[in-house]
Amino acid sequence: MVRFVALRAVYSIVVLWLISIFVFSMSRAAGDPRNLYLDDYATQEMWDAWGVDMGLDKPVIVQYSIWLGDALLGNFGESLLHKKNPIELIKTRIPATAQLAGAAFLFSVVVGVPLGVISAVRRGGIVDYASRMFALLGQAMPVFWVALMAILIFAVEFNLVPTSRKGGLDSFILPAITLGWMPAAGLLRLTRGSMLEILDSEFIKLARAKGVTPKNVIWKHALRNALIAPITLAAVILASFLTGTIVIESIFAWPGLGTLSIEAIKSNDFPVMSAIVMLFGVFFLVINFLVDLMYMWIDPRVRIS
Amino acid sequence: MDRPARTDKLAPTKTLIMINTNRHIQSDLSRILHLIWHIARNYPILPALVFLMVIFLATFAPQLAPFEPNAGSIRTRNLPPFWMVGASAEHPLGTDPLGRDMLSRTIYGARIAVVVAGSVLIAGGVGGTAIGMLAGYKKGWVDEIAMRAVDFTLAMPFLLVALTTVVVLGQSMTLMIVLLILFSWDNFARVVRAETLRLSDIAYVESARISGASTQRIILRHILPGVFGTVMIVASLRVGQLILIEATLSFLGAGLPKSVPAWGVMVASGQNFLQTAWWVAAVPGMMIFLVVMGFNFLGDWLRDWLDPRLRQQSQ
Repeated sequence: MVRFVALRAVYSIVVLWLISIFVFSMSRAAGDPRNLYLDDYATQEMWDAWGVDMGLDKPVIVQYSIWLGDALLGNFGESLLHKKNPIELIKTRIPATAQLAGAAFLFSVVVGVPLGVISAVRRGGIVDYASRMFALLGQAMPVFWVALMAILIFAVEFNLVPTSRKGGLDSFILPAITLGWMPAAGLLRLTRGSMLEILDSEFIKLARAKGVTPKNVIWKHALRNALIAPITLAAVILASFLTGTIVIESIFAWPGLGTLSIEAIKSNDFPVMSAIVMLFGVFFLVINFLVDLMYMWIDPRVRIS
Repeated sequence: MDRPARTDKLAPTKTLIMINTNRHIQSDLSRILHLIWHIARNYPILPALVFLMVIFLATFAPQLAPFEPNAGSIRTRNLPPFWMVGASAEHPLGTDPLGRDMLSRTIYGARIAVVVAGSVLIAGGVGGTAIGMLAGYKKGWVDEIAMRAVDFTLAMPFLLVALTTVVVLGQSMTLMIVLLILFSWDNFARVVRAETLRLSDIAYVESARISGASTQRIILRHILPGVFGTVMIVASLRVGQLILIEATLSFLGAGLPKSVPAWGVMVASGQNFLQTAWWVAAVPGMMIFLVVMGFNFLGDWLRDWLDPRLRQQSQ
């Protein structure tokens, strides 16, 4: 088991290293990397100084180690657009993204899991078809389009909620629901599937025969066992929000990391972009690592293989 | 003492039928819903229609589209679709803020979607299948390398990698397709490897090996036909996702260039005109939705039909 954990940790570090090689080679892919780090207002002296700093006269391996050393110290250059350290910029944007992701996560769990349970228990009922429809739509509609249509209907036409920007609680409604719909659909299908399987098993029949109330059979005996798969999916959902928020934030002008990345892309702000990719890479791998650990903790069979 | 008469109430045929079909059915409405669902699930009418429509639109786009997709005119700006006041008969789905015909652009959009999803599926599918078969048949270090490559592909944050690449190298259709291929082969490789492992233990592959057949021959003649069904299932389940990813990237301005009439690009161009011309964003998004839903249904149906065992795994 220790071996398994260690192996996963090594994988994560290797992947991170590959991501760093990717970002580095991207910085060299477009010719002189100084074009990506300095803007048109840079003087000749700055240009030459950067060349020395980056070791451009030295072999690529040396350039890479210089770059990696800087990156490990949190030095990704200076944002071309904001004239600030990318790490500082990212720090100021994290809270907004975390709040949005939290709200969307809450929505997808609160909607997905109970609907999945009811849908399995009342199989063939109205709620079941409504939930399946909900899941079907969530998995087929493009998120950005849902967001735009939601703005059009609920903000522009009926004026129920603000169209965009972060404000009070009501400004969370549209972004959180549109971001959470697709994961809610996934959770719903998964919960429904495993509940159907569990409800059919012997120990549930025994519990029923023993005279446990239907409510307890469903919500205690069955749901506890049916939740293994949905819990791991829930962690995957959190990881997917890292990139999912990019789309939603750009539509709702949300002052978070997603908007920062979009700005960076639109203005070719490579220093910020590289910092975001590395940081998201770390987040992503940490969450994946935790998922593996959790999976092992929940399902002992994983430990053996 | 007389034996009591039977008081069984198990007579009316109506209840019998209900019991036989689905004992959970409760009301008339849910019975109708069940019938619709049953038909949609068991006969691929909707996905077949969607599939044929997309292929038809893509193939005959130049003949079907009434206008050039990128030809605009200042006089026909922001015309609404046919059911609204002020619509023009020439532009049934309206026009965008540049006066371009929405119907023609949507039709050409099908062509883009087919080209992108098709080439990615063919390249990623063939590559992934080849790698999966080799890994599963050769085992050992080939297998190890292939599976680690799959792990790494899965662990990469795709959207960000794609965005960075596009920032540095610029937007193009080729780049987009290459990126999507790099991130869609892994699924094929994993599933095909598992299937190959199973197949290579079966007697006919064993006897081919004993009779001295080459690796190439065994893989192509004996394993490939066995994994083909699985490959088709994975491919059909993947189409919808590919179309969604492509549209998302294009929407973010990091996929296809603005000059290409792709559905994602079109929704993005309508984003700033929601209040004046909502149909510019609504119509192409509707197409994405329909096509993705059609392909999702097709994938589910194909999976149930070809290989019910997979049903549990992918849910």
